[in-house]
Amino acid sequence: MDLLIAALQVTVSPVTLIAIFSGCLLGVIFGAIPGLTFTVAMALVVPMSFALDAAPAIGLLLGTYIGGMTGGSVSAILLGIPGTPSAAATVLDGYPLTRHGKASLALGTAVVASAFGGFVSLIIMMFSVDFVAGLAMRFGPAETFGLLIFGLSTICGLSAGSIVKGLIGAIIGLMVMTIGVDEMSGMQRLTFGTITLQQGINILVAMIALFAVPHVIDAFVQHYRSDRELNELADVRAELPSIRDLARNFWLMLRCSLIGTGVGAIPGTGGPIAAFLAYAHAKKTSKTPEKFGQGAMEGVVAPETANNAVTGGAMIPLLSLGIPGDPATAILLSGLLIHGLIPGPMLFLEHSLEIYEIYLAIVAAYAFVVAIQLLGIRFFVQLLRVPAHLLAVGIVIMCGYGAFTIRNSVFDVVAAAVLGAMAYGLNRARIPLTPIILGLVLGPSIEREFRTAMILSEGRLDIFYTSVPAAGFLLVAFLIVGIQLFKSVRAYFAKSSPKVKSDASTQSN
Amino acid sequence: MPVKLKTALIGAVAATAIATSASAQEFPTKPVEMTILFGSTAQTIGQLLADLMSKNLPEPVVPVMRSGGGGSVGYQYVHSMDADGYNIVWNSNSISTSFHSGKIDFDYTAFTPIAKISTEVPAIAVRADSGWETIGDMAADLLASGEKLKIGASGDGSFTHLTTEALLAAVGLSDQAINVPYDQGRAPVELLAGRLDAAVQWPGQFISHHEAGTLRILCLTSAERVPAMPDIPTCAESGAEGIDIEMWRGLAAPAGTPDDVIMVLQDAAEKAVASAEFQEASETLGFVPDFEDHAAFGELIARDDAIIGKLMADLGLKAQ
Amino acid sequence: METPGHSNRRDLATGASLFVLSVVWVVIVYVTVPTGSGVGPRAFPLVLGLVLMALSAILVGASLGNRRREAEPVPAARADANGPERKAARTALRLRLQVLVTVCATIAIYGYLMQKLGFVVATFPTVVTLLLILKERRILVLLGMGLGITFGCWLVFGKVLGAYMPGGTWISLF
Repeated sequence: MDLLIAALQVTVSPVTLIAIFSGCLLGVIFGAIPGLTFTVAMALVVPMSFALDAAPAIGLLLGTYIGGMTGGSVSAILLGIPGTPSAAATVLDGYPLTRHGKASLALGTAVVASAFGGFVSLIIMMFSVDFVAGLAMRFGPAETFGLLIFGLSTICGLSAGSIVKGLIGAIIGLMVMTIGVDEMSGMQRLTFGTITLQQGINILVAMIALFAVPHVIDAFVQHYRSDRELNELADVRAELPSIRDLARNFWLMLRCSLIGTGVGAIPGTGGPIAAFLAYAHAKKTSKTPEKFGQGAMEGVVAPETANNAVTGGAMIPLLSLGIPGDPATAILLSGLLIHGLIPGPMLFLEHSLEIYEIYLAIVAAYAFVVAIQLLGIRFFVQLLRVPAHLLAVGIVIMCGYGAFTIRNSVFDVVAAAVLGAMAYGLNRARIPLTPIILGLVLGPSIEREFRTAMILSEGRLDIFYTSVPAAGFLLVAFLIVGIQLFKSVRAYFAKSSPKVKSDASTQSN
Repeated sequence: MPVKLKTALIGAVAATAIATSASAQEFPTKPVEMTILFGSTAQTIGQLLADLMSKNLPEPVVPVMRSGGGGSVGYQYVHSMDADGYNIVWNSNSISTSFHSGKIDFDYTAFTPIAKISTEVPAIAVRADSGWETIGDMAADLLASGEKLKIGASGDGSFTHLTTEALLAAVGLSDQAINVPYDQGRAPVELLAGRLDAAVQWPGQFISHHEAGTLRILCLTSAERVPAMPDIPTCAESGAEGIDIEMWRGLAAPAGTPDDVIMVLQDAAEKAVASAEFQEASETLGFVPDFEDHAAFGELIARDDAIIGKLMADLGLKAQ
Repeated sequence: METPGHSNRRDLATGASLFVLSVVWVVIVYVTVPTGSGVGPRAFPLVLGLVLMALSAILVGASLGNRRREAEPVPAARADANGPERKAARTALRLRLQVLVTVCATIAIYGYLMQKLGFVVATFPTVVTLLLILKERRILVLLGMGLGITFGCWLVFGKVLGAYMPGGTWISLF
């Protein structure tokens, strides 16, 4: 208790609060603008934090991290372009909601759900850090591989229509990520002897290509087709969700927080898979699953709760074991190190005051994020008043610059353009988007975990079925895919009448 | 390096700096770009160094992240720039590993060294309950039992991997080890969880577990003990004879950069390394500040390149 | 306009092109990527390519099967190949292709210029060009958007937040 009060005194000091607030604001801005991501924002604030004391410095970094995670939902909902990979699942229902004129409602719900997820994961972290860390430690390469395959198999529940096209999308996503230097063997793959291609395809670049470029192309095409500016989205009321609306989803949010925290605690997974798993879970448990994809509020609540719960979940292995789960937490780790906080078991013994400061900083960051976003909603929705084609020009610039800033490389901008053209083609060919994203996000991890597991087992496959979690996940994954495949094969051959308009393997919208 | 020699060198450097300062007055007239090749700790040290160097120069040093391809992308970028000192690279032994593995088609001679800034020393750790107190114990035990050693490091051809192979060769375990490549510092956890028997990583990743008594750092691979961790023996002391491996970091510019410009940058780097902030950060980030001037640095790079080239050739990692 | 015939033809085209792509991929991977030891660097790309080959073959097969079963509507669709509907579809396709090439080429060129000329010098003409392509002729909008986006980003990201802005390697103004 004394510690808490002492930590409170440090955290509520003006400097710390201003630092946390600035971080949140910066994170929200970088998260909200398509093309820019908060990983870049975090790298940006590290030098700023050199001059600060430990508490404000860590507050600044945490604020940026949390602000960025929630900010990603803004452009996902308003434009259908996720601001961060973790917000990709939010697009599925957030964007349709905007098209139905419910943008502000969706944004408000998203931010509250985010904060809820953040708080729940914080509470879990505060009270069971050792337990969860121990659990996460049991997840070796084989178990993580199982979990990732299970995550990938959820595409079956998400890709409307054809299972074959869903699988094609996932495979293409996986293939794209194998280009470049193979981290494990140091060998070059598909680089054609060039140094440029050794960079490989950055996941953020792929996200720009997948969402922003087709969005811009569609906006241009639409502009050419209609001479008049038809602004169908002119309804930009700033309507906020009521407490009752939010309370209705309480249990869903709680369950998704647990999914997010759990997934976040396992290294090598991260926000996107948590968000998609939560989305699939929400759809499965919903009484009206057919509404998903058409603008179901639960489809925004679930991924947003889960991807923010990942922030707390990822802090568990970061603080207690010293492993960063993704590039953003890796930057957070160096921020902690430079201020003398070495993550690991000793951190909790020697620096318990700072641990409490971190907890309080997270609380403050979520409070600021909710305030910034709720106040910001009325400004965000004004974006919809901008004619779509002018907005598209802005998006081109932000994506060009955003792709460049990731690694300050022209290759990334060119890659965004080339992959964007391919993504548009796949889009027109009705290859669903969601499996492609999952393939992109999970590809490198799936390969790495599988190969590491095989090295550990000295080449024997039994490592995947002698471990209960690994075997369990893989079994469920194969069941899901198997049942879907069986159903579509049966549907294909059962279909005798030529009048039936679509079948499982060629169905489109 | 003996203290006397160091002072002598610094004196010599200062003398050259004075001699050339007149013509170098012009430099820099615009910001200097420092290309950073890797994320996390390397990036943070680079950012801090750039920040501190900026204080000693009329124009700022701007750290610019150009990661990818294990450093080869950043090296190529700086290599392709004009040799005017406005593009420098925060480099490391990766210049040698990238060249010898065939990722880049130019070697260290494509760059003019500016100054060595710091060193980092890999450590080998085992579980505290393994019963191994020294690397010699470990080797003797395994050689007697014939069991295989699962040892984790970063990807093949990385610096920690090369260190691992050198250590294994020194204790005669080369044929009895399974090398498991990990990323993102996961090796310590895999070790804790019992999926590995040993891991070679940077000591910063082990230290908290070492202090908590769950892992034991057997030794550090440098020839002399690291001042920040005086209780941890060197690997030579611990039973791996002849081991002397350090990863250096430093600054370099494209070959052909004028000497006076190099001197200006070298002096700024020297002041940055000597600053209290840099010394303080070194303790928490887990590196050793170790300034050497461009001449000494150049010799070091050439010496290390030969060693790394030979090691990689022995391991079959060298591109033909 | 989504007739079964239409979606079948599309699936046939998609499947066929993906099949060709995957064959090329598999050959390149097989020839250029070393096997390594155990599950080496080649295993994953190779297996993925083979799986894509199989899946696209299934897609081709399924759409051919559907086509045979739905034999009736297909000749009907073919009969009015020069009808107004088909013509409109072809115009739409051409428009989409033109836009696709324009947008993607602009992004790629923009990236290249950004490196060579710097952010400020590259951004302004890119914005104006895009607006001109969009048939925007109002000089106020052209200048306003061009200067607004360029200097807005430069000020906010470059100056206020201290993000790195490419300065340009050919010429450097800022």
